[in-house]
Amino acid sequence: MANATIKYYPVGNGDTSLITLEDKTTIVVDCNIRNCDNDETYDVKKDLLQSLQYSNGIPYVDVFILTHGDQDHCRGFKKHFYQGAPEKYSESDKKEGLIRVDTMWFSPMIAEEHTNDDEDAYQKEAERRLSLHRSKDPKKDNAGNRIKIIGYDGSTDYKDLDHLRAKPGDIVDRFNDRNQVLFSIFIHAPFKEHLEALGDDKKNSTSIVFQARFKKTSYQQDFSTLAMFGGDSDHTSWCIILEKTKKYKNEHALKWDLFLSPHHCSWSFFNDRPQEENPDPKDTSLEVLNYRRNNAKVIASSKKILNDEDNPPHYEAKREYVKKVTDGNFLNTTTYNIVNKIPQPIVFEVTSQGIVKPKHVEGSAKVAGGAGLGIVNTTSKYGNGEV
Amino acid sequence: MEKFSDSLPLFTNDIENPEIQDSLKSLCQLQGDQVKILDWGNSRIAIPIEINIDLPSLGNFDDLDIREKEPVIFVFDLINYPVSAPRVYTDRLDFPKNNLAHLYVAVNNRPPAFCYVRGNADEWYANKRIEDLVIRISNWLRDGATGELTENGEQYEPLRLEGYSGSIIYDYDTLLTVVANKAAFEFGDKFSIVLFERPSNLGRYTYKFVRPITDKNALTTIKEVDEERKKDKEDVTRKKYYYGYVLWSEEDVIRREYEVNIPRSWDEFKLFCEYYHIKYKEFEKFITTYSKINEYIYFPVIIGIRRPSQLIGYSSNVEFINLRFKVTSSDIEQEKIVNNVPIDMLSHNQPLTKKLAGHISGLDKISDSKRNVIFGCGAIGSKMIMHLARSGQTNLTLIDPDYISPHNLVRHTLFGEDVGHNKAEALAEKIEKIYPYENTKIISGTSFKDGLIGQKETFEKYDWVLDFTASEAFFNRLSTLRNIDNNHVVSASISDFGNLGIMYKEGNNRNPRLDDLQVYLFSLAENDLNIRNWLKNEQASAHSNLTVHVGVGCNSETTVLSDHKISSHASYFSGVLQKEMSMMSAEGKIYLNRIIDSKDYRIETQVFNVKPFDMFQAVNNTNWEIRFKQGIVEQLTKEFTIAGKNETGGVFVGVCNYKTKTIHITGSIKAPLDSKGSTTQFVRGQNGLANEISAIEKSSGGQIGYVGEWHTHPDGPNCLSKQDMESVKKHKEECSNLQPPLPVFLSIITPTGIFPYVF
Repeated sequence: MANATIKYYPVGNGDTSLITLEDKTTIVVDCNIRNCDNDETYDVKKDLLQSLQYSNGIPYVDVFILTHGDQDHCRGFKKHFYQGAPEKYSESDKKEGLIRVDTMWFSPMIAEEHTNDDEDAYQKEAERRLSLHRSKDPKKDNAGNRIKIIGYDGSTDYKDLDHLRAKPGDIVDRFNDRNQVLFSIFIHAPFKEHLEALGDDKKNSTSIVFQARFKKTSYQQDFSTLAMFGGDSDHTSWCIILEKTKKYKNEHALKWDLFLSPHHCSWSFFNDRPQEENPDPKDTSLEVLNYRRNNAKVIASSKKILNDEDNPPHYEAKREYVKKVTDGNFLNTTTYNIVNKIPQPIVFEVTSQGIVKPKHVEGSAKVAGGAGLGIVNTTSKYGNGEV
Repeated sequence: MEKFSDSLPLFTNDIENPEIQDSLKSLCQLQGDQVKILDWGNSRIAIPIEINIDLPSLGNFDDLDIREKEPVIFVFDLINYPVSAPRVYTDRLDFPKNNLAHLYVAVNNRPPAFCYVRGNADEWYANKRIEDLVIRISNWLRDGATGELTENGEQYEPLRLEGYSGSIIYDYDTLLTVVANKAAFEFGDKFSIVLFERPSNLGRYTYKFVRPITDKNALTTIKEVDEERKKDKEDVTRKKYYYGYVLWSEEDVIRREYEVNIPRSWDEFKLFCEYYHIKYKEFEKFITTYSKINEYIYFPVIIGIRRPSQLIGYSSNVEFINLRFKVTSSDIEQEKIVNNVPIDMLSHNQPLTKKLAGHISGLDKISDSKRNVIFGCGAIGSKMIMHLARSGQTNLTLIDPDYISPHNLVRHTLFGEDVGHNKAEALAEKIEKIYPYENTKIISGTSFKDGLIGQKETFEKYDWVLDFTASEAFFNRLSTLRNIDNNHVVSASISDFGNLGIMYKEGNNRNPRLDDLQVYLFSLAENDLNIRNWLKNEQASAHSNLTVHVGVGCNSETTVLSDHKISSHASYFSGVLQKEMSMMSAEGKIYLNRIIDSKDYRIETQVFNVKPFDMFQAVNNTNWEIRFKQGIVEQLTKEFTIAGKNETGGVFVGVCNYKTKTIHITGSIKAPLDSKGSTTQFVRGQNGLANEISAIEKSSGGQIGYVGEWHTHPDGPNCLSKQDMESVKKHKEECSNLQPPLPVFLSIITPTGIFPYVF
């Protein structure tokens, strides 16, 4: 079996991550799928269609986790993911490559305010599924109708669906109706206090935050890899996470080998913005970073990080991260690996010795060009005529 | 850091091999610098380079000292590159070689080489470039660092050795019983003796396991070996026996390290034994005291060492190191080996087992627990039998009365040495030699004993009954045999001058039966041009117009047919048979393998599914059976209903077989337009009937034609009327004068059913 992998797509300021387990189960965390009409945008959709599994020709993701509803975390959901009754998935849907979300993870709290079409689509699809479960529809447990409620309720009451719920402090090891032995997720947030939070950044502070935990064998005591995902969560959230996790003696849930820097390497993880007015990082945020393990890496899923006014990404935030993990272990999706001007995803494989870059792929002595070649798709002029 | 390459001299000659020049250029590009070209000796150059490795975040597996940059040496064969792939060695003298699998054992004081492909490196490299090899070595080292080098994580990778001087064949599990269960006599503490044989002087040195020496067989074995030694050396029956020695370590001495220095001399051997806590002194005393026990100066020695976990591909943690000693009388003084005698390595080969053969064939699912019987071990039969046997299915009974003649060798799997031998017996002997250490359960004979074939219990122990006799007589016999109702029956043969292979597979409960399938195939000629042409060819070449050559009798030296055509059919039939054996289909099947021997030689296949036939016994003579192709009875019933109170009728086409007392109905022709039916009478007309029958007859090459008639009795009775009997009498007059005569077959259809009569 192939090793589990974690892939961070280069999507500018935004998040799109793909976790692939040894049994090929796939988990997509957020999406920011932009149009690929310029030459320097990585084609996330194409890669997803190559990475996901198919059932009767239908591409599907086992679990979609939307950390929160900001545009840069759900862009393209409406266009690229299938919404509606799974049995109505049509041949033309197949042609368009609409991805079926077998199980969606849905936080009622993040869906309070509607700000964009993609979020609306996510919310609408979640409500469609919830009503199937509520009415005990016989099709409710089919792939494409499954749903998991994360955290607490907002204005709508889903108490009758508590069996579908996972709360902060819970460890989830069942994904898309299958139990996993080597993989689990520890849920940190959103918690109740978020309900009372106010202000413009409410959506950000109510992000789902979780720790993805990988093992290589069922009998190993420690984890092979720990990856932290936190959407756009800010320093106050992390302060509460730290406090609660320690209180319930769950320190293991704070450790990490991979830390997806919240809010695209924003200063908000370290302190309030603007950074100039709050230049000192909070101790709690620094303490979170101290739970890193050997050779841990911080991923900045953002634009190229420059020392300028255009924030996030904050140059100062990067400096704080680099202080903790060294420059070599701070990886920016836009600059990590560029091929033909196009940034490539950051990928790590899970081995029993921790994360490691994937193997280089061998070529062969025989070769033929494909239809996608630039040469093929542009005119080539020859001849000795005058210019 | 001290590197091995520092000890190599610069290569000063010109490199003429353009492929090497090319690859060196690529290496320079990869390294971003010029590379050093050193002399490896033996017409090889050594290129030291540095490989980058991505190491895992939490530290290397077992804290192995693998670094982000590893120096290695690429060694190119100046003459044979790139057909001969580069060898790659570590360039670090302190490389953690003892802790890594997939390294070759070091020789000649050189560092160990990476075993970077599972199979043959030259084959792998045939489709790779030097850049790919660099990637592969980097991935190899990455795997070493992550602990993924052994693909089966829980198990221990056995040593990779090279530079063998010969091979030794024994079953690992059998030898393991000597070590683990004391299955042999211990001549010393953890020291036993096993008898080996060298099958021939040809090829490379090979020792084959015969048996371990136990206290029960010691005397007879010694006697047996002595007797062979007494024989004249030129005697072809003389067997060359060797006593081989097995030494092993204590159970609690477990070594994890890959000992990459296998002893190459007596002195090294002693150190090796001490390291693994193996007591060699009793062994030394034995071979020096009884130095004459072995006739030859070379003899095998097997050392069993214990690994921390089960070895990949084997059943325990004991790894056997196979050595060959060379000891002459001048090496021995006073129960001691006084010279530093040389030691070679032998490669171990597992003898082939049926299970392994099935596994290698990808046919593990097919069970060998029930016996199959095969009639006919000729050209087709012998090839199909070998296909079965080579895939581990040897639970067979082979029957053939014939003996191998020289001309048989053109198309038979057997060889010249078998001329004069019974085909079935010779095949069985060959198959037993494939699995020398197993009971193949194969049985062979010239025939079943008299009468046995018809007895009820004969076939009870069999699953499949396979007919490759190419005998029409046997085909008829098998078709009507009553005691194989619970067996699966297949018959395969060749027709159309060797170009058409036909295989019939009966349906569940023998319906459709072999002869049903044959008739069905003939009936397809009406609509299938290929079948029509084949049957017409057969008719044109036949002397009597009702004999189809269902098989080409290979007994005739004049039969012109190449071995490759037989093989083509046999391989198709075998493929079909293996499929059916692993998952039997319920319906009858006809498989055709057609060779089109025209300008472009082509092969195409066709499969027909055949539904069960409807069966009736003749009302007046129960010896005769009437078998209808599916659909005909329904058609008759429909016509009966449409005609209502009026009688109606028609004509049957098919074939009648006196040998099997069967009339096969393949079609029914509706009453011609000039027929007249009333409530009491049916006059079957004739307009166009002759043309219609002639067309059917022609298309089937005379295999199918008129066989009888039917009419209805809407109000009964269920028997023939007086009028009917008169027609029968009239028909009988004509039919009995035919050559061959045709029985008169008349069926009546009444509200209660179909009532066939045969006169």
